[in-house]
Amino acid sequence: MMGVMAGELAARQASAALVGDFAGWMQAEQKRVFLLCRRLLGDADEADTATQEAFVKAWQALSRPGAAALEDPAKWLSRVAVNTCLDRLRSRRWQFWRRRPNQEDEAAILATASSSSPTAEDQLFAQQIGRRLAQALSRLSPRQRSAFVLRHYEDRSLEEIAAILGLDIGTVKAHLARALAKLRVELRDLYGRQGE
Amino acid sequence: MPARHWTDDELIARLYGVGPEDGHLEECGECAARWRRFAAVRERALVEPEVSQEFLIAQRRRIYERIEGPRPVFWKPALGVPIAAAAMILAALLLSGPKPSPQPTLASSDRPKDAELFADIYDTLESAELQALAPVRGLFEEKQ
Repeated sequence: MMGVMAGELAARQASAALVGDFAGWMQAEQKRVFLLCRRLLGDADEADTATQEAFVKAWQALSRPGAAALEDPAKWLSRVAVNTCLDRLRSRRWQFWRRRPNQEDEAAILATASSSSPTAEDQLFAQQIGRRLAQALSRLSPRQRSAFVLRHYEDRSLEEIAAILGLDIGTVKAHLARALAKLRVELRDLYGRQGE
Repeated sequence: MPARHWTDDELIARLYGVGPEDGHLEECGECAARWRRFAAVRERALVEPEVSQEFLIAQRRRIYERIEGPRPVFWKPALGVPIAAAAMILAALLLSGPKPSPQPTLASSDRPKDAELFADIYDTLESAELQALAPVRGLFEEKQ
């Protein structure tokens, strides 16, 4: 009982600290959230808007009187961002026009990696994977895409993905299996060729 | 009889947490080696692309603006300077505009003095023209 109360107190203190230093927290999480949105939406401009929405929602939720305590703020923020992207993906279904990912815009935003990061070959390879998968992701449903992106790019466990998406693990596995089936050609090519 | 080796699809599925769970990877060195190669490929895919600092700073600025909420137009710093400049230009135009032309006034030295005025009137009354009208005027004057 005391342990639960202590945990609750610590979570509330963590939430209060986030409100107190929201700018610092946002700066630390901003790039990750933006890349997550970009991978889910496949469009840099839309990801920019979704990232802004996610942080505004986060601020509103945290600064509200009696806001719920957060045990894992990063996971909670991911959930806010994923839900924001899912809303946008669902709304796309009602659009008779649909913007395709603009590679030139993305290239303008995504600068080349710094010299301190892995080798240029790795960077090039990662970019190739990113481009191929980004194109292939458009074939997935919003849920399948979310599950795959969280697993592939964020290396989240199935339990974490389930918590972020608000699903049970069995459903997450089903979404992932369907996503892998739809991406089979690309994944076979990527892993088969590079893994040899 | 040894179990068959895993296919690429099964190894890929395992990478994503949905592959077979028959313990084959713990028993088969060949499949374990292939799986490690696949895992290395995926590790490389986890390399995050850099995002320019300028973009992130501009994005944070927009987030702050949205958090603070919309302000009245005249409070926006971006509009404050143009509005102030326009007000100054308007004031300068009003102050430096063409002055109204001065109305003609008589200088005090040009004003006729009272004595001269009376003299002029007296002269007029005593003029020849009015004297010629005296008989007619007499018709209407009551006799004492």
